Amino acid sequence: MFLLAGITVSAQKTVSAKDTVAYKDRYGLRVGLDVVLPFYTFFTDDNKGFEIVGDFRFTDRFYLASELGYRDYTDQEDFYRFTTKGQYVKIGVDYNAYKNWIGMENMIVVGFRYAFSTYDYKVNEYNINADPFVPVRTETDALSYDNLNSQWIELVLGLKVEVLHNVFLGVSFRGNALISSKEPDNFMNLYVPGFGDVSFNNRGFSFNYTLSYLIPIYRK
Amino acid sequence: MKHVFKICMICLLVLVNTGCEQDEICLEDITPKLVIRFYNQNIPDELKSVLRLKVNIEGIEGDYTNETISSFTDSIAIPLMVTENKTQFILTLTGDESEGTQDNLDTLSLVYTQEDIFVSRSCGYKTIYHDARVILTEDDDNWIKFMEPTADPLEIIDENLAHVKIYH
Repeated sequence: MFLLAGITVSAQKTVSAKDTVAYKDRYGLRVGLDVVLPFYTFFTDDNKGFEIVGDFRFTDRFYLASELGYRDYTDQEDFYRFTTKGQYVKIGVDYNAYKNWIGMENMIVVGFRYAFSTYDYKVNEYNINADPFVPVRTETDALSYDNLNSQWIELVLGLKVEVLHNVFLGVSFRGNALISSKEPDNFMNLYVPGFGDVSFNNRGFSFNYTLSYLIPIYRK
Repeated sequence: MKHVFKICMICLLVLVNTGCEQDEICLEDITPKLVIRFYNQNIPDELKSVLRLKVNIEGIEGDYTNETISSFTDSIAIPLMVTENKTQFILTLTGDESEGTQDNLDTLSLVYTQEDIFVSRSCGYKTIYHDARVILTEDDDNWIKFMEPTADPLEIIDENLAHVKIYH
């Protein structure tokens, strides 16, 4: 930051000598990971996963962006409990809507993704939902629904802030809409890795918090 | 200024919270109850209400009550056991001292098979009943003169139509 401030000051000094000073932006590959999932993985039994994120700047304001991840997530509902295990890949474009001061590389991200996930469900336990006057029947033989998949699109809104030299803290909010999915027989797509909870109209939303490192490749 | 910007951005990151829960309630039909309608034994097409009916399910303490079982009703809905493939229930016409009548207990038995069906996120699983058979236990003084299921074999999959007609 002080370094960058120095550049600005020196730029002002040289104005008298030269009419323009060209500042060259850095272009490179930024790689990182979701910082919340490791906490869930180590401190809870019902929510495990990881996500690797990356983007590559290909024009002044556009970045090719991608996420890869794995989730093992158990959801306890009122009458049943089920586990989702699966992996996902997302690929798309981020647009930087923030006009930085010279030398800064923060981002207000507006982007979209195409995403694909393959996963299995296991219904660990369920109670028959019947009149409370009669005794409850609980089934504990797990039901498995394997080889399911979904594809969806995401609208991404987010921030990326350079907190240390080349180190970025990011947050994104994603509105998701399922395009198509392979539904299980006698169960439903209730949770999709990378998508989150699927609501009744096949929409959903998710967040991610990331820490990433910029590997500068060239300046332009 | 740059530091202010940076601090603002970090605060924003922290403030955005993931604590959002889906708050849905179960609105779909769950496990169907057995729907019984009462008809006049002399005029079989005419509904005839039952006065002071009491419903008990064998193996469960207490009277079964719901909005369909009132003091004067021509149609009732009774839950079936999901822990067993049979349900026995006792329909009692309560006696009245001023009329000099006594309680009259009649027993109906149902046997069936069950199929578990997933309904929705908030409702979970329900069961539906297949190949149900209804048996009326004969005694010296049945207030139920005869009864018939509305279909054979009887499938109990919803509560829209009567499953059993009772003539009295």
